[in-house]
Amino acid sequence: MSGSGEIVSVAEPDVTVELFGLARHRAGRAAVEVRGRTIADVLRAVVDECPRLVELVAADGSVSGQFLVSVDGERFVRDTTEVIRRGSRLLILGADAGG
Amino acid sequence: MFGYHGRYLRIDVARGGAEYVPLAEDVCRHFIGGVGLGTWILMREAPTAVDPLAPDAPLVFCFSPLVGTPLTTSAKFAVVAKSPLTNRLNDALSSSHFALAGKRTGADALVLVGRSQQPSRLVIDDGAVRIEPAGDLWGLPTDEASARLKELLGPEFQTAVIGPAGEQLVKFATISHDSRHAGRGGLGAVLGSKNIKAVAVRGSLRVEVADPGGVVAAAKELSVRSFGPATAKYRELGTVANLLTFNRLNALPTRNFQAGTFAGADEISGESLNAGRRVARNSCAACTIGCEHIYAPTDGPGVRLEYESLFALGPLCGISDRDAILAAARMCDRFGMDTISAGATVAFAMECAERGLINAPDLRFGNASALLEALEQIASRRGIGNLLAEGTRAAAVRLGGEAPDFAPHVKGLEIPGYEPRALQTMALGFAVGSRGADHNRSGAYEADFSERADRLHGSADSARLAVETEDRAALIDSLILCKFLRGVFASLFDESADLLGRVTGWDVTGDELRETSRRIVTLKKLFNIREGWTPAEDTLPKRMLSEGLPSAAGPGASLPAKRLREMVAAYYRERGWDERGDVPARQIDELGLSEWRTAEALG
Repeated sequence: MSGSGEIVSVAEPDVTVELFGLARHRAGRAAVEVRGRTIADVLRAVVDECPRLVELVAADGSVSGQFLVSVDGERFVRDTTEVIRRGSRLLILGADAGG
Repeated sequence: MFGYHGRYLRIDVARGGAEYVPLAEDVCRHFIGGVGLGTWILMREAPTAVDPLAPDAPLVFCFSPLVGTPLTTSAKFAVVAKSPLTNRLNDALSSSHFALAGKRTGADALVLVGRSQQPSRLVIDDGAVRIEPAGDLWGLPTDEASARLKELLGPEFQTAVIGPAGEQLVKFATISHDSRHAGRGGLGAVLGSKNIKAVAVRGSLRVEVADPGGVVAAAKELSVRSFGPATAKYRELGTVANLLTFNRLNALPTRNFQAGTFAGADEISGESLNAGRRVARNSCAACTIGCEHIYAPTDGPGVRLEYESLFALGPLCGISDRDAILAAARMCDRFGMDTISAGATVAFAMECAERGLINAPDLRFGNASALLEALEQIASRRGIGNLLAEGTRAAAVRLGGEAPDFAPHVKGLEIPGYEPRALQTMALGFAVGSRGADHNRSGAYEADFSERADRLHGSADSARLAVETEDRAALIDSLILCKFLRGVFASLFDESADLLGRVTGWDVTGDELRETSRRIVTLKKLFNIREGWTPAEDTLPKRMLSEGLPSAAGPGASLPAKRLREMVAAYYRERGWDERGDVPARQIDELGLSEWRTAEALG
């Protein structure tokens, strides 16, 4: 069961990952489609797809301090063990919003 | 005293006289420099309730103990005065060679009072002061005035100048050095009110540091870190990269804060600018980051563009024409006008025109030529520009009707490019900010862009985060270091204490600097209380508190007035202030601010 009570398939769902700022600049694309059950799965798949985003994931598997991950643009997450709900989109942003 | 000259130079531009005023070591240690020390000097020099444009209103250029060291990004200066836009404290930062040369004149701050009888330039050469006629400079844009002064005085002089907007006392005029601006709150109008077109500085009087080898070692290590991932965004893309991110999060102020997303965002995004228009990258003196990105319009010279200029002159005015935005940014730079306030004022006027409150048929969202015309009118105070040159708060009061409800300001300072309803910790930061709506003195958006806060549902918990970022900013702005460096510090207060200790020889600790930050924030508050602050000022425009933010790409958002009031009350508690927001006498004394304990401060 997910946190909201929704039943999550054991199969890894397709996840759309939107890239912004440095992530988009380095990946050379605005979005990628990958498969993954947890945020960690998805981030590893993104790095496989876009090797120039190797700095996205820290050595311990967490999101590196250089980037932020948002679920559907509604909330930011650090816990990469979170299971992704079917239909959710992940956003990868630069960590620094200053300007 | 290491790191300081131990004095400031008070200059009466009416008579050309100058005198040094000693700065005691405990004052330097309590307020450091930049915004902190500048506020202390202003508090001391400004008569209570002074008209910001009166001759006796002081204008303070304040340096810092780090200026002149090899520490990266330390070539900065603060300009502090009572704002003609807000009638409250105003402090703005700028960078580069003016800071280095200014401190070498032999003072830790330059304080200008009086009014010259004719348009003049103030020249400070190794502490020797002269006032020279500048009628030939009057009317020149900032870049031309700076170039002319280089020709007249020689390349060793560094200059801070105003443009036509400052001469015309536009309430959001800037002070420009090397095309960088002490931008917010109308400091250019304060200099213009003194009939001073330019301040030129040259000097050879250096200060000693306590541990030269230690400073060099720290500088090398900090430089290496400044090349790391924490500053990559600024080097590779610049701040314009914010635009698409904010648009996706429904946090991009659009059409005078009527929406948080903009249909033309892709056309003007940082990504598209960087792909097609970027021509160069620059940095301030003594900076290893190099955040300045220069973009070329289809025709014309390159323009430095930051996110704040892009949002204010683009989406906020409904404009998606890249060339027009670059032209507008260049006009603001040359006229010497704050791009945030200028863009917000034109956007406000566009909405007024659409609602029939202003008779200006062409002034419509999306009309780029109307934007450019309005900017020219404001800088010259021609036509409708004379009203708009007063800023949105004053213009709204004069227009009446519902205009004050959607005038986009806090305490008179126009709101920067962070939609408060979608970034509600930042909304609190804006509401309680001493200089008004401000993304540089409150970095509360950092909490909104993290898992620590629910950006769409602010709460009393937001207060702690707002206080934390405000205190960090007070320290950085007083040291002074560039905020773009903040991500390289694992422990800002402890590492700053180490840097400051190497320069000054003080046994300063991170805990001491935490208290110093609180002292500086509190002193700003005491200045505002002295100048008439009331709790009613710590709020947001009615629009933000009564209209929900429509949703296009991201979730919708609303910020009820009751929620904001509760957040403000929690902020007061977090600060240890009373329920009205006044500072208790005990806290004033504990922070060493007893000399500023007035009846007003105590409510």
